[in-house]
Formats: sequence, C-alpha cells, structure tokens
Amino acid sequence: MQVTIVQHDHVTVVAVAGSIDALTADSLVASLNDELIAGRVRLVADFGAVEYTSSAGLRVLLATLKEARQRGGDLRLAEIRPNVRHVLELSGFTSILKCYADVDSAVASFAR
Amino acid sequence: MHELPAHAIDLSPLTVDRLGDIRRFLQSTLSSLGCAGAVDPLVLAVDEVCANLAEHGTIDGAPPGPVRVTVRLEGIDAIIVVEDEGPPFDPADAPPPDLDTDWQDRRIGGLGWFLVRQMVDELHYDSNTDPVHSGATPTAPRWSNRLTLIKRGAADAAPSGPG
Repeated sequence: MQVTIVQHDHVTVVAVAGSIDALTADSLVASLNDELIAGRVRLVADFGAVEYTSSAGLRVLLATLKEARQRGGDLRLAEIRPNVRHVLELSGFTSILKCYADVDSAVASFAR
Repeated sequence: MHELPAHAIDLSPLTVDRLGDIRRFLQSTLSSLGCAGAVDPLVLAVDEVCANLAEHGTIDGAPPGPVRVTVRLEGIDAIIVVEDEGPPFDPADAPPPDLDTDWQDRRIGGLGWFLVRQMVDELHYDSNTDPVHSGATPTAPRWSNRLTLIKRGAADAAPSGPG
C-alpha cells in the first residue's frame, strides 16, 4: 500500500493505492493522523487505486472520521471501487461517510 | 515429512505480513478451480479469519503458531478450512456488529466476523481439546481449532469481470 498526500488550498487529498489490511492499516492511520495533528482536518481520501480493504480499513476510516470531525473537519471519500464500496455498504459506512464520484467533487464539497 | 493437501498454504508462523500471501494463494487457487466469481468474498472472509488469528490467536503474548488454509471443491461448493493451534475461539461468541448508530457512538472495530458471515453461506467451528492426539490420520496437523467456510455454488458463479 502506498499513500500520497497532496495539499490543496483548504483541503488535503490523501491518495491511497493497493490493499488495506491488518498489516497496512497502521501506516495508513498514522499518515491520516499526522495530517489531523498538523491542523489539516479537511481530508479527502482518494480511494481510486484501493483494490481491496478488509475490516482493518474500516477501523482506519472510522477512527479518522471521528478525530477529524471532533477537530471541526471531516473525512470524505472519493472514487471508491465497486468491491470496496460493497464492503463499506454492508458495514453501514456509506451512511456515516460522505462519498463522491471523483476527487474534484470531494474537494469542492468542502468549499465555503 | 508429509505433503500438503493439493490446495493448501502453511503459515508458520502466521503473522499479519503473510495476509497478502494468503490472499494471492486464494485468488490463484480459486481461479484455477473455476471459482473466479467467488474470489472476492472468499478472499475477504479468509483474510478476516487469518488477521484475527494473527492478532489474537495466541495466549498471553506467546509467539504466533502455525496455521494451515486448505481449499477444496465439493461438487460446485468451495470449502475452505482454516486450522490453527491457538486458544479456542468460537466465532459464535463474537459480539454483534454495530451497523447503524451515529458516527459519534459507533464502535471502532468489531466488523471482522460480521463480514466473514456476509461473505460465506456457512461457517462451522470445531474445537479439538486433545490436539496432540488429533487427526484421522497420523500425518494430520495437530490442530486445536478448525474453521470451515462454505461458499455454495462457487464453481459456477459468474466471473466478477475485469480486475
């Protein structure tokens, strides 16, 4: 799994590539946490290249979502592949996470 | 020395850095058995089971033990067996998932066994209280927990498409 972080004006895009499992989840949550601690609390997770997630990825998303919202920001998802979306839907995550078809719309959704 | 069953992978020990190997083993084995359409759900189910074993499958921080994952077909049903030598754990004892509370109150974690059950048709747990003398044959692994996952109709499931 690779994580690439790109800062936009008011939003941070965290592009994730590969598989999120019990091995890789720790480094993903650490990357996301680094952004939150630095005060960059408006996060878009670009899942376009996420091929797979287990429940370990769900733990990362929920922990980050809670932390971001408690700091006045949010975590929003973009470009989720169908198999990953299926796991999110089954687990009830699509009702608590805002999901967007593409990164641009997710970034724009934060605009005031 | 004894040979592995036709479609099996031994993880000795099973640690979380082997999960990718397990997923690749399942992907290639299930595809070769004509179960391409069942790859996604079975990969997720077995990944969850094995992640749980790697993270919780030992007593008091003992080093992780060996785990064997075996795949076979019975007719058109895919049968996957996961055997380990760790402490007993019946997935029936896993707490129910938290699927619909608000984000503030939603519990982090606890979805692994829920997803396993969503991905397969049947899940059976057997505990062997006398692992040293276990096995129908002298060469069987000394398993103490055996989890059997069954996906009905896996071999005639439609291919899941590209990717």
